[in-house]
Amino acid sequence: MKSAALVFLAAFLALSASWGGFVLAPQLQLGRGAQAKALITEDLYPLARPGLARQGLEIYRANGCMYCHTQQVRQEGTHVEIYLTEGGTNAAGVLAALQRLSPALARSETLDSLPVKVVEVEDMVAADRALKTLKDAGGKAETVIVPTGADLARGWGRRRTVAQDFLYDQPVQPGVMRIGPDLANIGLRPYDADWHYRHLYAPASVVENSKMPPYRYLFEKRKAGAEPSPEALKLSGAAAPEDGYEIVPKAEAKALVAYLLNLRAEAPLFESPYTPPPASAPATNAAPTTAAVP
Amino acid sequence: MTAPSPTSPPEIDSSGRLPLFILFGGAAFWLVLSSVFGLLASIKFHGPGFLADSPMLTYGRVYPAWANLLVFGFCIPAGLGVGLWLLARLGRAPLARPWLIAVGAKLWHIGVFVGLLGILSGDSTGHTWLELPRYAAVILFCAFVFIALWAFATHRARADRDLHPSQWFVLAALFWFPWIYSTAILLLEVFPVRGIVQASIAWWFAGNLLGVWLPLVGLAAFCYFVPKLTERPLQSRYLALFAFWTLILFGTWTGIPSGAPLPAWMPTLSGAAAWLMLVPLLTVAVMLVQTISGAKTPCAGGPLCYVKFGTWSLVLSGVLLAVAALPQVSRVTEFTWFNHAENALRIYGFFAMTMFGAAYYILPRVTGAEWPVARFVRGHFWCGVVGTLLLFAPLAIGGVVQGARWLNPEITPVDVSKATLMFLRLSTLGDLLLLLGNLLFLVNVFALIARHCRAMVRVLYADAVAPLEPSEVKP
Amino acid sequence: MNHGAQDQEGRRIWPVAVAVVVASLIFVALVWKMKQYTQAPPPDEARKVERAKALAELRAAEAVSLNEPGWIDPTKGLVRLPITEAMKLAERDWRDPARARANLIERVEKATARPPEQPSPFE
Repeated sequence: MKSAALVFLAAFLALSASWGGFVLAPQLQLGRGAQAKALITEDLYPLARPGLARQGLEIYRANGCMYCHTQQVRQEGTHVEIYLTEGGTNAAGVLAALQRLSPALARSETLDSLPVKVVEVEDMVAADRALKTLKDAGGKAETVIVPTGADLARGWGRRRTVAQDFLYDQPVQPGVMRIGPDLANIGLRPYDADWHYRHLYAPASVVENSKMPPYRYLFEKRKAGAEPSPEALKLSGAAAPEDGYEIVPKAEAKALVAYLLNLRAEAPLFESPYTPPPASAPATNAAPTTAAVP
Repeated sequence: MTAPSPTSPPEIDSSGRLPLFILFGGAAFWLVLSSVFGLLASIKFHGPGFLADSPMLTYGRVYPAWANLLVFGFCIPAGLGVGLWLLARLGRAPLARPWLIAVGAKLWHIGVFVGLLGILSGDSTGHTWLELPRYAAVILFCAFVFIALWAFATHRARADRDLHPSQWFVLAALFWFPWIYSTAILLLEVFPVRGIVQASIAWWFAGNLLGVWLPLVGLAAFCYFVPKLTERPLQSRYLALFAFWTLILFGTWTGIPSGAPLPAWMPTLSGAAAWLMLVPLLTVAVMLVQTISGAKTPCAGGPLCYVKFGTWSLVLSGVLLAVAALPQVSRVTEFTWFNHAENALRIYGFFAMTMFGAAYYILPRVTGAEWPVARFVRGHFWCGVVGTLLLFAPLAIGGVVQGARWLNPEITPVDVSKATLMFLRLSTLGDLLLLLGNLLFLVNVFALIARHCRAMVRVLYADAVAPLEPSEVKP
Repeated sequence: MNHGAQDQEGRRIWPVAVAVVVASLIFVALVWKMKQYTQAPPPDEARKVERAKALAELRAAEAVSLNEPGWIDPTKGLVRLPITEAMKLAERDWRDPARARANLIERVEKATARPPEQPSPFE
């Protein structure tokens, strides 16, 4: 190559190709995204975040929460579960079908505690076969699609994270590193605002040995009045302030917690479907116990 | 056009004195500051309460401060310094308008300073490698284009019309940065696009900055310094041309992580590009081996050692990038310290080390004086090598351990982070060594500049107090 | 360096300067064009229109019931009146309290009369 003009041309060609691929193409494919109808419920998804949660996103950004927490649940596959929902009139036939599909369930008590999960199979063909066996015997059965993967087994969500989940975020912060757990569905997990406040103020006081830094600057320590403030954190042990003082969340902490509680990406979508298990059946992804918290 | 008469090398070197002082001096300063932030971030894993009560020094602000000072504070100005010097030296023409380049360089450093304050006060944009807020980004963009302008002017005034491979790499880098930076800033900050497209653009930018811009500048230095220091011809110009084309064609597509919540074709394409990137990197390895083989010059901790170590780091980081693009591997390594280790190897092991080698060669020639503390050059090399390896190896292994544990739902998050602690502690040692090495560099560069300024003042003073020659007195 | 050489250098530099600035801004132009062609309405634009329409309908219905008289339940003799009209009416009727009171009980009974119970389906 003999001149800067040629180098310019080479660089321009190479870069504009990837520009077209990773800037223009996603803008054409996803940039006009709008709310979509969730499967089953037909609700619009996602909803815009309420004002306080939107402020909380700014606190999340300003304090770099995304350097330790992702908002991307990964999924490795799906499996199909067959639930027996009604025994029908031919109890003997259903029991015989159960005997074939899942011998452990082939007891008459099974029919008293319906719905019950009969089998778990990997593909729809096997699922259809099992479904037919139960139906032919006179029982009523349902197919349930369950996404699987380590992240989901941790109770971090019901399905993988997809582009649609980020529709209203500005900036979008999918995160790069998991020093702590994924937060894509933190609002769905069994932590209330009070737990989040205590966790932000003194992480180790609610999660033993937590390596999360405390965010005490999001809280205010002030003299307690005759009546303690209803907002005051209920702390105990080393984290508790000395007598006569109380810890109350500042506006920033309230916004951040509102945002965290608003993080719930669980609507089943066309691109990441799942079916909730039939009513009164136990959830398939074990809800995290308090021991397994961040 | 008639070629201007070639200027002698010392004249060319001295023409760039002021801008190179500002570019390298500022870069050395930001580098030390970045190491300090890196160390702070690393210490936070030993005790999470460390400096946690100051919002400015919380982990989520110190970490981006480290990353941005390293790339925007050190890598880009140092790369510009080396690039300008290469353009002038290879074109055998003095730098055009060195005063204006100096102004541009100052402007760049002001932009970095403003951006640093922005990040520390919570104005980070929230996009990795693009955290510098919009107001700083505008300054940086203008400063870069302004410097690039005079670089092109220098190039156009060259006496030697034929282009050396280094010149292709530098010129392409001068175009590349304004293009990717303007796209990213416009579409993320000025008229933000909607939803996940933002993440796609941020990943594209980071892939181009770390995967193309840094290699372009580093390989420019490689193509010039390896033959120069070994006193052998570059093996060969055609391989260099091949490496150039394949680097810009494939490198620009890396960047989208394999698990990204984007349409599947995008991460797949990026993974394929990461494998194709092995082509230019192996070409570079062949060039290095062929050029060096049979050379009699020992490197002895001098610039050649730096460039050699840098080149091998680049090759290794490219191999890691390719391996981590495999779905079976990325399942484990995604979202772990592994990616951080790969970036550290690329930025520190490859780019920074190559730039140090270049600076240790260039600055004495620019000032016409030897390094004030020659021992430090060698000391810095070993600090850099051991520091990089201590930072990289534990974090890469720790990342795999961390990733494997995240895949086991029985292990609680606290236990996962506990498993990485030992590796993080080792990497803190690496951070410490790097800080030490960078301090040696800073001391040497500042002492060299100070000595030069003192000598200049002395000459001026001597001129001023010299007795007037009768011939100078106007009648 | 003499003046002639400087002028020559100056002439060489300005075209380069313009070319470099234009080249650096190529992607700015591309981004701008892309923005023009792919500008999408906000994600909840359709919903906004829908909500505005629902609100307008609601307001229109409210305006009718506030400002126009009409029957609520003819069988019970219940009417809807604008409040000013109702006040005027009340004031006119109660000028003569005895007459106003005369059929008051009857009117209240008519208005609050319970409808006959539904016959039980089992009878």
